[in-house]
This record gives sequence, C-alpha cells and structure tokens, in this order.
Amino acid sequence: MTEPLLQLDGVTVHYGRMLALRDVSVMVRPGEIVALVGNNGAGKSTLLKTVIGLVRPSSGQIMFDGTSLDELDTAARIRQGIGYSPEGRRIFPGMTVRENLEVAWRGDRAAARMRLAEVYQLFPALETNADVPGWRLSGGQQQMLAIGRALVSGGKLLLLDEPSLGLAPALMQDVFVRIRRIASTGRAVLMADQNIGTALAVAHQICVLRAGQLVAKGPAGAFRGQGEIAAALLTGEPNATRPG
Amino acid sequence: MSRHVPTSRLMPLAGLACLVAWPLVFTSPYDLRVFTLVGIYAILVLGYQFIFGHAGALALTQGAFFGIAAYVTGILGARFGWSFPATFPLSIVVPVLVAVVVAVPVLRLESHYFALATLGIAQVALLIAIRWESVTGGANGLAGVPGIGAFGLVLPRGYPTLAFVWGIAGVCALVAWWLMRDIRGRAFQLMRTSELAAMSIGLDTARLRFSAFLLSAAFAGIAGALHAHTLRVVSPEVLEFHVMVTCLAMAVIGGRTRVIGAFFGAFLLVQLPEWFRFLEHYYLIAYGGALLAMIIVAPDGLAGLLDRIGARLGLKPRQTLPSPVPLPSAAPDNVATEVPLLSVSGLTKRFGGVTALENVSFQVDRGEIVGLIGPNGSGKTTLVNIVTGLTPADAGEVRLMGQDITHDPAFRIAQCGVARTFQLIELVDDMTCLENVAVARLTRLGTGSGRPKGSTKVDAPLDLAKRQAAHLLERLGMSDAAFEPAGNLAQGLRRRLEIARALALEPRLLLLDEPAAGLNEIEQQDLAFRLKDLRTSGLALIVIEHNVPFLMAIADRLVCLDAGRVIAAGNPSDVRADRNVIAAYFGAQPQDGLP
Amino acid sequence: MLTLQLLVNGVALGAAYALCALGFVLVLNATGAVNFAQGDMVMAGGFVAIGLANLWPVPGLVLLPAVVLLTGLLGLAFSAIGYFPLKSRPPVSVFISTIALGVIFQNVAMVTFGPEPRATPPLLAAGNIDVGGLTIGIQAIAVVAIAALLVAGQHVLLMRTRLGQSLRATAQDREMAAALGIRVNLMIALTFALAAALAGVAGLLLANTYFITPTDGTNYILKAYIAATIGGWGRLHGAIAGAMLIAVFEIMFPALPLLVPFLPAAIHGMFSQTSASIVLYVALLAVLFLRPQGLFGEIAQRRA
Repeated sequence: MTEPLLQLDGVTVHYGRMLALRDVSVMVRPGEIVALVGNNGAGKSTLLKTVIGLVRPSSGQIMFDGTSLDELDTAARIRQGIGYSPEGRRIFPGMTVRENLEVAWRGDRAAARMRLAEVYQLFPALETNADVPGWRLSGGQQQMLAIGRALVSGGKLLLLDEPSLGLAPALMQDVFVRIRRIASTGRAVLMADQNIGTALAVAHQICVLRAGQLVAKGPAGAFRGQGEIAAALLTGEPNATRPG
Repeated sequence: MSRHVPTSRLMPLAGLACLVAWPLVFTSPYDLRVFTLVGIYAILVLGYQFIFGHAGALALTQGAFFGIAAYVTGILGARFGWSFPATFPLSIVVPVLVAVVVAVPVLRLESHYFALATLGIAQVALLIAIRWESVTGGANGLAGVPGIGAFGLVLPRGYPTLAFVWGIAGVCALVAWWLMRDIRGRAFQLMRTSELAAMSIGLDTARLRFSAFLLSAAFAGIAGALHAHTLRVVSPEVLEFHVMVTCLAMAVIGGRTRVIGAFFGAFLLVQLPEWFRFLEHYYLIAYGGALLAMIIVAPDGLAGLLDRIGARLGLKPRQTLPSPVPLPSAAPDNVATEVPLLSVSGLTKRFGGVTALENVSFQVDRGEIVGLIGPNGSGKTTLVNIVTGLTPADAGEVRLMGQDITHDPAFRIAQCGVARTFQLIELVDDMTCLENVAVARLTRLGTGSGRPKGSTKVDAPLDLAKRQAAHLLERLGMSDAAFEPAGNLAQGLRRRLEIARALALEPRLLLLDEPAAGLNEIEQQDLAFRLKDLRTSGLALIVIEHNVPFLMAIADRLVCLDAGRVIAAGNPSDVRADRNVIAAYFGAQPQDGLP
Repeated sequence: MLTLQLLVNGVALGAAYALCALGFVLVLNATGAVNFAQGDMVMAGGFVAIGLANLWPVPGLVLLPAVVLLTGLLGLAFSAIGYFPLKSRPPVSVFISTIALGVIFQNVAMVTFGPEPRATPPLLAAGNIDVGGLTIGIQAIAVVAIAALLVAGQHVLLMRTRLGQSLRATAQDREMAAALGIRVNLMIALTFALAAALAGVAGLLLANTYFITPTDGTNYILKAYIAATIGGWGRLHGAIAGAMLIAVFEIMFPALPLLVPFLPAAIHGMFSQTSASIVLYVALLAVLFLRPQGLFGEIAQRRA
C-alpha cells in the first residue's frame, strides 16, 4: 500500500457552539477516489473546507504529503497541491471559461500552464468555449469547469463537493468518467456526495458521515449490493448494521 | 415589587431629573435657547428612530422633512402672518404628504438604493429653497417668523418657549414609547432581522415600513416648525445635508430604537459643540470621529451601552412567566369537506434557464401529515416558498380551502392560516423565546379572530398575546427557556421555538422545512411525537425531510419530487418502495447503469 | 457650433464624473457597500492637487502621479478605518461609517484650505485652441484625454492582468475567491485605493474649470450614484455611460434657450442649472420606479 497523501486524524470542528465534525479520521492515497457520503448537514462540506483551510478545526491534525497543514492558510495549501471545488460550482459568472481557469493559478506558473492544457484535454468542451462567459454554460459544463478549476489550482489532491448535484444521469456518468481519469494519473480525489448510489459508481473508498461523525468506512465493494443498509445508514435509522 | 426598580424604569427617571435640573442651572438666555434646541432635535430623532431604528431603513430624508416644515412655518408665518394654530398642523401635514409621494417609488428599494434616492429628494428641496427667492427668500432665507402663540398672545422667549417645546418633546416621547412599547416594537425588530419571517407570520412589512416613514415625517414636521419658531428665522441651512448627518449621528450615538437614546443623542450633539466652540472646525472632525467610533464600538449607541453596563451590574429586571392562556380552539372552516384544505395544480417555476418545478400537483387534507421528499435541488423548498407566497409561480394555481391564493402576498397567505418554518431557522436571536412567539401571536390577534372581549384594559391584546405565547411555549415543553434569548438555544429548541411561533398563527396548514435537520435521535423522537400530536387537532402538515425514517414514522402520505417533478405520491411504504424513488433518492444505481 | 462646443464641455465634465462613478461601482461590487465618501474623495483629490501646486507650481499633468499616489494611500487608510472593522456587519453600517469619514474629510479640508472655492492648475495650459472654427478649451481636451486613458488603463488592469482577475473574482464571489487562495482582504483594500485614486484624479480634472470647496463632495457622490443607477447598478460601462449622459444634460439644459431659437421667451427662466438638477433627480426617481435595473441593464434573475 502506498503512503497516504492526505490524512485527517481526529478532526473536530465547531461552528460557534454547534458541533459540525466530531473526531473524524480519514485517509486518501494517491490515485484513490474517496467519497464522503451523508445527509445534508452531516458534515461533508465542512470536512472538505477544513482540508482546504476555510474552516479551522478545534482539535485534530491534518497531514498532506508528509507535512502538517495546521499552520498553513488556504493559499499555501493550494500551493502544496490541493484543489477545491465547492458545492454549487461557484463559477465566476462575469469571467470567461479561460479566466475562470486562469484565476485559479497559484505557485509555479509553468506547472499550472501544463495543468491547464491537461484540463482542456480532459474537457475539450471547455477549450471550445474558452471565451464564453461563465454564466452562459450549461450545468454540466459548469461542473466540468469547476473540476477543471480545482485541477488547475492544485495538482495532487482534488476536493470535490457534490460534483454530481443537479446533473442528469448521463451527464453525471460523464463527469464520473473524467474524475476516474483524473485519478488514474495518480492524483487523489476526496469528494462529497449525498447519494451513496452515485458515490459507489465512482469511488474506491466510502466514508459515511452522520451528524458530524464517521459511522462507517470501507472499500466501495463492501457497500455494493447493500443499498438498503447504506440508505439506512445515511438517513439515520438507528439499528442499521455496519457493512464489511 | 416596589423595592426592586428595574433599570428600564431607573434610567428614564434619572434622565428626567437631569433634564429638569439642567435649565435651572444654566440660565442665560443663550443657554436656554440651546436647551430648547435640544428638545427640538430630540423630537426630530424620535421621529427618525421609526424609519431608521425600528424599520431599519437608512432614509436620508429626515433633514429634508425638517427643513420643509421649517419653511412652511416660515413662509406662512413671516409672509402671510398666519399664527401657530394654523401653521403648526400644516407644517406637519406638508412633510407627511411629501413622504407619501416619495414613498411610492422609493420605499420598496433595497437599502443603499433607498438611502441615496432619499438623499436626492433632500437635494431637490434644498435647491428649490435657494432658487425660489420670491417665496423662500433665497439664500438669505426669511426673517420675522413669529413666535409660538395664538389669538395675539405670543410665548416669550426663555423659559416659556423652553417649557412648551419640552412639553411637546415629552408628548412625542410618550407617543413613540407607546407605539413601540413591549412586543409591538419587537414586530419591527423581527422585520429588520428577517423580512421573510416577518411576512410568514402575517406582518404586512410594506405597510409597516410605510407607516414608520410617515411617522418620521410627522415628527420631523413638528421639530421643523418648532425650530423656525424658536430661531425666528428660516434659511436654507435647515435643508442642508449637515442637518441630516446630525440627526443620523444623534440616532447612532444615542441609540437607534430607544426613546431615551434620542434625548441622549440630541443633548450630546447640541451641547458638545457649544462646549467646544473654540475648536471650530476641528470640533467637526472630532464629531465625525465620534460617529465613526460609535458605529464600530457601540452599534447600539449610548442607550445600549448603559443597558449592557446595567446588565453587568446585575440590574436585570426579574421576569416571571405570564400565566398561560390557551388559544381559542379552532373553529371548523365552514368549507365542504370534499374541498381539500390545500390543492396545488400545475405549478411551474423557472429560475433563469433552470426549471425548479414542472407541473406539480397534489392535495393535502385536514388533519393529514404529508411528507415531501426528494434529493437536493429537486424543488421542495421552492414548492413551499410558492405555497407560502414568498416566490411567485410562473404557472399553475394554489388553492386553500377552495380559495385561489396563488397571487396573494405572503403576509396575507399567512393570515389565511398557512404557517411555516424555515430550513435555515429564522428567529430573532436577540429576542427572548417568549417575545419571538408573542410577536406572532400579537400579529394574529391584531388581524384576526381572538380580540379579547369585555376587557377594558388598554394593553389587553398585548397581555393576552404574551399569555398565549406562554401557553404555546408550555405546549412545546419550553417554558423554562421563555426568557432565554433565542440565540442561546440549542438547535433542537430553536426548531421547536420556530414551530411554536408558527402555531401562534392558529394555522390550518403548517409547512416545515427540514424540521429534523441537526437534531439528535432523542430530539427527533420528541419532535415526531409533537407533530403527531398537532395533527389530532385537525391541523394539516407538510414536512420536507431528508430523514426518511423520521418521516415514515409520522407521515400519512409521501410526495417525492425529483428535478422539479412529482415522481411518486401516496402511501409512505409504497412510495419508499417505488423504483423511481429508490433511483432518485435512496441512491440505487440509475437504470442506465454507470461504469 | 455652440452645440458642439457645449458638447465638448459636457463630455469633459462627464469624463470626470465617470472616474468618480467608476470608483463608486468598483467598491460597490467588491464589498456590497456604498462608499458615501466617494464624492469627498473627489474633493480630497482636488485639494491634494491644490496643496501640491502651492508647494510646487507646475502644470496639473505633472501633479497627476502624485495625486494618484496620495489619494490611493488615502483610500487604503479609508478602508482600514471605515470598512474592515465593519465588514461583517450589515452594509448600512459601512454606509454610515463612510458618511462619518466624509464629514472628517470635509472638515480637514475646511480647516486646511478654508471655505472659499479654489481651482487646481490646468493640466497643460490655460487657453483655447481653434479646430476648424470651433474654439475648444485646452483643459477640456486634456481632461477627456486623461480620463479616457485612465478608463482604458482601468479596463486593461481588470481584464488583462493577474491582479485584475483576482480583483474581479473577489467582487464576483468573495468566498470562492478565498477558496482559491486569493487574498480577499488585500483585494478589497486595493479596490478602495483604486476607487480613491480615480476619484482623486477626477478632483484634479474638475477643480480647474469648476472650482472646488470642501463641501462639494455631496454633489459628486450624488452624480456618481445617479450615474450608477441609470447605468444599471454594479455595471462599470453603464456607470460611464450614465456619467456622460448626466454631464451632457447638465451642460446643455441651461443653454437650451440659446440652442433652440423657437422656445418662447416666457419659459427661458425655467432653464437654469438648478432646474437641470431638479429635472435630473426627478428623472432618477422615474428610472428607479420604472426601470430599477437601469436604462441599459437587463434584469438579472437569480435563483432564490
């Protein structure tokens, strides 16, 4: 087994008095897709934001590529190679596709340029629409742009929040194929999805969050074919059994 | 009781003593005139508090209303020789009329639009005053404005004028206090904290803002007229932006919503320049600095600061829960039972190019709990927003007990008996639980059924609202938290408080947007129990939830939305087993399969 | 001929208004808050130029870089005092704090320079040139040229540079910009500096022809506001067009009796600068009422 690229150890996050994450430990290896699955408010987005540095944990540790992220701000974490795509895509509406990608450049310019070329290769539609303002893209194109932007900004780990949200099944499938392809280049992906079925379709590892706690984790295979159990885990049925 | 005088009483009393003592200590005619001006500005600020403090709209017209009134008094008094009994009412009426005209295009605008648009009006008034020389006397203004008087008698300067002005200031203070006393003022607080929540309890926020604006203009009219009488001249200075800034600074520094704050602000900002006159313009620099510092350090002004100090010293008034009074039991709705309580047909809504709802139809009967499920973005909240009137529908129709409410404003739909809670809880965190509920109850009492009969007490509705609110809190098991600010509550109690507020409307239909989100299992069970209990009284509920086991335990029927369409509806276990629902919601593999 | 000359003057005035309005909209977009002191920044720029010219009597063009620098720094300080302490409060708080800062600016100018109207030195030289029988002020041409350069420069900065991209990203979606590691607070501070510098230059340009007093700021913020409103709230190009429209109207309206020979003499008195202002405000109210999205804007529908 390869060394983990990202390792969260006992991460706890509070929003004011509200506990958002409690003692969560997750690890992601290079080339691996890990899906965080859970309801609205289960803490998936919070976890991703904690990794990118938009939210500060009240305790716990985050290691990335052998160094601790605890002291680094968002810009520094991005320079370490972490790219982030938030929920709802958040395309800059008044900027063209190219500008949306270029604005994500941090650190080494040449490497970013290469990643930009890679994004265009991965999503040819973005290159053909390079001069189209962001607000005119369709939902699927916006999602691709959001993933592309994350890839341009950080080359080692992608944090994708709900990449399948609001996409028609065929489009969703398309997006997942690209995510798989990104992972096949040795990059790691940590994504959030509230739908375990779609998560199973793309991820290698599944982590189920409920009310801020990690209630189950394991390889995707262990969850497959147990849709009911998984759904129960998600929706909070008390007596659900853990798979695997 | 008598030994325990609450700060809220103590402070005005101490203030009053100072006010009476001041003109007895500083007795020169000049001092007396300055102190008269304090009273005038206090009236101006009391008025400004309605629109700026209570309604929360940054209007920059208060100076203009003041100036217009001064000119009305000046022109009628100096040019036409009219006396106080005629000029005074007209000086109030004219600014109010201007306010009515101005309010039509301007009052619905968002904050900065509003502020700047009102400033434009003030600027027009100033230009007219300067240029319309034949009437206004141009840049020199008008001299020879008569003093306050009637039938040939004129109040002499000095103490009589001072006493008269302060008498009126006292009346104005009483009126302002009376209008905003207790939970009446809290309705405004709710409006400025969350306009959505205010409308959802049946408050006509546009009308509230309008009336606040007119009150502001009326008070400014009083102040402007008295100003002209006191100085005996009117010049364009009264219309300059400086007056507006002074008024704003007084409200910010004194306190935006408290009666005592208006007097603090007026006193300080009128007296300070007198004391620091030798500093000249340096004083005005310091003045700008003080305004800036107050905004940053004490956004609630001196009145708020004193409150905080009082609270620190433990001078908090002791509060006892008013004895609970149950709400009147729901009368039958006189509509044939075959007419469904709510019927939604063909609802369609698009945002830009995104279809949020597409031809959605369903019905809800009395005493029924309908669960609304569907993945994120499937249109559940949009549907609730359309039913409650917060979002207009593009097509389709919503009927409540057979009556078409599709195009009714949100507050009217709430008054018709449709209550709701919000996905992101919309409570006023600074208000106590009791106040949060009592505001809704008072609104209901004001618009609807339960006005107390036979009671001669003036504050009977207020009293009743609080006692019934206490009952609602009791019913939801949160009497202990009645005087706790809503912001201090845990998530579960906040959800319950929102439900208590919704119940204060005596609704026939209650829509709950993710009521179980963020609740632990015990809280969820408790909530489920309470919701089932509500149904027994004939109330119908629509519950949006992701938490399907929670819904399964309470719902009579489920409606499942996906991508804005109803994909299944009916018996909960059937819906849960529906192939499309599983695909959309429970996350089984979509039919076409993924790699 | 007169029409053309007035038009040139109107465009020159509009160019200066446009700089002020541009800064107003930049800050509005970046922070969501109204900078009420933007007009006072114009005034400050005028007095900075006057102060510098007292020390060092050179043409205005030479002073321009110094004015840009000093008012830019003023803008930075402004944001540190008036915006950042309040950035998590409702926008109205910022509105009031900028009013307070405006009062401070006005009175610092009053104490330093007194209430009398002052003029900045001309950009190049006083006087007129003759272009095909058309007498045009050198100052008017220089004002238009400099404003055009600055607008173009501002456009290049925003659209063609990394910094500009970060500024725009911050204005369009602050949270997302932060998520991309953009130093959002720095970008906002720079926006304030840019806005102040644009206003400062406007002051330098305006105060030669129109003079300046410490209390003129209110007038300029109102013009910027009207320009931004009729141009469509938040639109840079709309604000420029709006500023031009206002200025040309302000210059042409009082001259209508001269321009339109058949107007009856009885109503000549109705055409003055004052009535121009009144008509302008009434037009503003009409725009707000009938087309809140501005004359050139389209309704942007957002998902609730």
